Amino acid sequence: MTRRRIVNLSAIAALGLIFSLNSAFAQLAKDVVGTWTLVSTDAYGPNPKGSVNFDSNGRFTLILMRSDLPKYASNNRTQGTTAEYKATVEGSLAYFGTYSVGGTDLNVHIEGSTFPNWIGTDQKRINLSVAGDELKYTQPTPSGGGPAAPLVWKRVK
Amino acid sequence: MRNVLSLSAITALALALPLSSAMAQTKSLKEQLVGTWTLVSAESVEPNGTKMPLVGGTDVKGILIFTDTGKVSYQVIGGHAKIASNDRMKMTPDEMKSSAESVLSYFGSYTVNEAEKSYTVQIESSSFQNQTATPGKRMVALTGDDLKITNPGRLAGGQTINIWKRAK
Repeated sequence: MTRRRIVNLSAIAALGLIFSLNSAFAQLAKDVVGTWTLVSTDAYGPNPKGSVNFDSNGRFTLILMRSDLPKYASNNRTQGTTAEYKATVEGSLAYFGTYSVGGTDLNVHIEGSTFPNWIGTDQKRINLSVAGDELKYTQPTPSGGGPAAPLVWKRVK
Repeated sequence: MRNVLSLSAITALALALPLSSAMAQTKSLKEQLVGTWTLVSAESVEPNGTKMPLVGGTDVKGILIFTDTGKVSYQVIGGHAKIASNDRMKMTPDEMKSSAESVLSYFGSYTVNEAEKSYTVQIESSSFQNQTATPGKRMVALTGDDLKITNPGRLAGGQTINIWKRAK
């Protein structure tokens, strides 16, 4: 085998790898589309509840909540007590906006958020993967502080 | 002969066009609801008729997604002052109040009543947890890409009216 032949073969192999990586990433972008229900996260107490939708046009909506959020005694959303408001805002996080998948990064642009510091920001969730009906990623900068947090979701059918 | 063919083709086309628009109109309400909607406006109407914004804050934004599998996710959020600590678990009482009052986010399941042009939502979890107690009815007025949803049974009395536009 000549040197040139080896170089050509290597180039073809490298190209093949790039193509298959590209198509794997393109597949990942397709795989995230849909509705997912929360399986696990570090925050939000025991049996946390959550839902995330990624639509096929690049919009998403995500909600995470403790399972023991209080009902307001007033039955009026704008007349909670200090303790009710505290439990609600500490026990939940929701945001929405647009998203894209780049490699194994989930890039989000946040248009609205219960945590106001996030409104208008661009953020990354890393190590995105979809295997069967399970979607996982890591949130490197949780809104409640602390270390990077893994989240696991299951596809809703 | 060629003229006859052309005429037939034109006739077929003329027939096909109104058919396709008729088919669009006969889509079920559910088929028309499924998809992503972005907020135009959201207000509450008190029992005495007084109107006010549904949530506090400025530059209110929202998203509503209905899936064909019967799931719904709803968020309406107003811009509110940043949390000084930059930590969701370290808010002052004033920050908690403005955060809580600027937000309504929930998710759950919905079923459409085609005849009544309404749907019933069973909320699984909500930033206003009182909503999870019983299913809630919503009345729908839908014209093309414009969607008006009225909640005639606002828990605090009166109703709420949300206007949405189909996201493209």
